[in-house]
Amino acid sequence: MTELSDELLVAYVDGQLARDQSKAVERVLEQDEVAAQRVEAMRAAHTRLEAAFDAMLADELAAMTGIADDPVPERRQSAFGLLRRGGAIAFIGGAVCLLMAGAVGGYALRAIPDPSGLTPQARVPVVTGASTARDWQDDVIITHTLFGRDTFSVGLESQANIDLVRFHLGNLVGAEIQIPDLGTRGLTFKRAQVLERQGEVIVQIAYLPLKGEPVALYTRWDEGADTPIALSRSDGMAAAQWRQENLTTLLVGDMPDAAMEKLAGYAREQIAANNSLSSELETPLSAAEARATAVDPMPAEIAGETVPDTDQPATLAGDQ
Amino acid sequence: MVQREKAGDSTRLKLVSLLPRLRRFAGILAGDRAACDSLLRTACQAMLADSHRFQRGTPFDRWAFAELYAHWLEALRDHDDPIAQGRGDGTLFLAAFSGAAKSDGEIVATVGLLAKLPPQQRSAALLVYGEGFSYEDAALILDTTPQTVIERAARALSAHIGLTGPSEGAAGQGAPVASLYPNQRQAS
Repeated sequence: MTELSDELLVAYVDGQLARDQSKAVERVLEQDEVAAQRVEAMRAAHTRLEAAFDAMLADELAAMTGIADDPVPERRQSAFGLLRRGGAIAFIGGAVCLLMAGAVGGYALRAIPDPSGLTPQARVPVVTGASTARDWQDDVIITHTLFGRDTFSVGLESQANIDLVRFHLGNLVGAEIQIPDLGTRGLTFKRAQVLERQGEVIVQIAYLPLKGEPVALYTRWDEGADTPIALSRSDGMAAAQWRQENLTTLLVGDMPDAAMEKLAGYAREQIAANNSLSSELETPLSAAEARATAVDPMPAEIAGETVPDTDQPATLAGDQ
Repeated sequence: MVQREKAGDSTRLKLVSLLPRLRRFAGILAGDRAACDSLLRTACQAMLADSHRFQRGTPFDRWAFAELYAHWLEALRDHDDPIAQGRGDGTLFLAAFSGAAKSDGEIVATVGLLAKLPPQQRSAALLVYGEGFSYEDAALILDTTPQTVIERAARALSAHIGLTGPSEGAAGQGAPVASLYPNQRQAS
């Protein structure tokens, strides 16, 4: 009987073997009850370690932001249920980013907390008055600048069922949320999550191009008549805003204005046509796949003012 | 133009967003809160001062984690008894993650067992299971080989197999630093 080393079994449990290697291990496990039990024990240990590391990170976030000191509102709890495990961290991370953006944005990014001045139990200063002086779009754009490819490079199993994600997001916002299919614009859906600003829910729907920085839709409940697309630029980011079916959407990305206008028009059309991604159409990349594509070896070059209308992936990137 | 890519604030901004993760890594390496924050402060100062060394195209988190690890290793080498430094007090380790230790008993037990592992095994486990790095990326951070990362992760995982309750994870004396020199630098 083939003997499997612990290292090989660990790599199998960690999901870091090639597909044919995994299948070979599975064939052996079918015949070797002892090894199969060992794998199960490793899986259990793996889960415990992940839970412990998540708890440690939540502890660090609480120490630095004081978030855990506040009572968790019911809505946030349900978001935790939705985005549990990796998603919970993403949720907290988003909240921290928004808080930090609120803290520093009022000073045009000049008063960023100095990491080198960190002291035990130090808290990132949150200037509550600063964010109230700006509108939510500014906060969102500042927050968006904190997201890089790596932010969305880890796939979340909890988001594999996009229909379920949309259902929960819709419950939180109070309206049906569309996750437009932007695949023909070279953008792959990565994650949808909830951010909070002054108790208000903002849904972030993030996409990654093949190269370059993420692009995201930020949507919030905003009752009123539909409005046309309005372009703006802030902190190096292009943004397009419109209201559609009582939801105001802000599309943010690092691209030329013309490309942003076309992309926003396309996204709006997709939402109007109810052409949302569903579980059958699209699944976020696995962690391994995402890691493999996480490195952007080239500076973000201009993909051109034109965004191709073909099915070929496009690159959306910086300014000219 | 993309301000965050050309301005010196880019590194600072990214570091701020990474701070919780870096602090967890520093705690895993240093083993107690005071040493953790000292290590984090030193490493962040160096990263801000040497931000020009960051090469675009490299995942920023991987670079920052590698810098932090390098600083920890450097501090160890300067110590009179470096090998013993990893043998920290398990109680201090638990105290460093006191918030996590307030969780359920299973997490307390797991954190207690982590306290008993050598820092290199703890860090390999964190990078692979906590951060989701591939073996290759974890190896780049720890300046070692992917095979070594697998071996360390396997040992860390094996230590947690059969963990059944909080009592088994009671904090005690930690383990010594396994090696001061990563595999790639060892004389053959």
